[in-house]
Amino acid sequence: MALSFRRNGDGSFGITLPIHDRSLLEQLVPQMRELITSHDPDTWRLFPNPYPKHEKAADEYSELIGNDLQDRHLAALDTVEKTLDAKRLDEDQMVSWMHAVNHLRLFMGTRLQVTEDSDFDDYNTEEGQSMFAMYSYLGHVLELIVRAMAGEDY
Amino acid sequence: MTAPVTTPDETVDADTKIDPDKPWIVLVWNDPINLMSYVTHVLQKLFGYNREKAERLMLDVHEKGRAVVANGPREKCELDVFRLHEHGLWATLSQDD
Repeated sequence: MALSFRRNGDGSFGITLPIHDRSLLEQLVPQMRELITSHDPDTWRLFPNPYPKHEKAADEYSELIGNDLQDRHLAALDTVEKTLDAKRLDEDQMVSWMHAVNHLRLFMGTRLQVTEDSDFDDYNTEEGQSMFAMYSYLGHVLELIVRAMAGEDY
Repeated sequence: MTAPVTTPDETVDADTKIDPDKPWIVLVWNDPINLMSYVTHVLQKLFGYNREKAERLMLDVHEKGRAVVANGPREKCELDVFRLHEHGLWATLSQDD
């Protein structure tokens, strides 16, 4: 059985998560939580500055939202962790999966300093190659989720 | 080759004036990470754009480096930016295009 996400007639989503995919996500999700809560510099793409030209407005915005954005990012990770064995996801849970997979891509792409032309051969350490392979794999997972949400089954 | 991830505008000018009467725009910036299909999906979902309009905006982001995806009062634009950030898009607010 291959990894798949399908939109059901009732608006829920059917999910097939092979054991290898499941164990990878099971490992990555807690690592992502740790990176976010420790404010790892390579997670900055999850927290862009909305006011690059207005320092004061940026500070006010930051005070206004407090931990809300971080809490939303962490809540998506919690949902994935809690539903790793689910065969069916409701729409909110599916959206959380989409967010969590994208958070992982944003972190890995930043750490790997990817460009739109990056490929596996650009990385010559085992760590870089392994992360690039996961980054590419997560792009595939995200593509499948986006298609399912658009009502296209693959 | 496209440039690696950098901040859109490193120059922070604390003196840039905010004009209370001028409308605000929400910009989405190009990045080499977000998938084109994902950006299109998010723009459709958050702003209710049809697929054609969302794809055109996504292509503007991709080809021109940025696109104006929404506009309005500051509070509404801040909420739009928050939701875009929740979805991992690189969004900023501005009073000039």
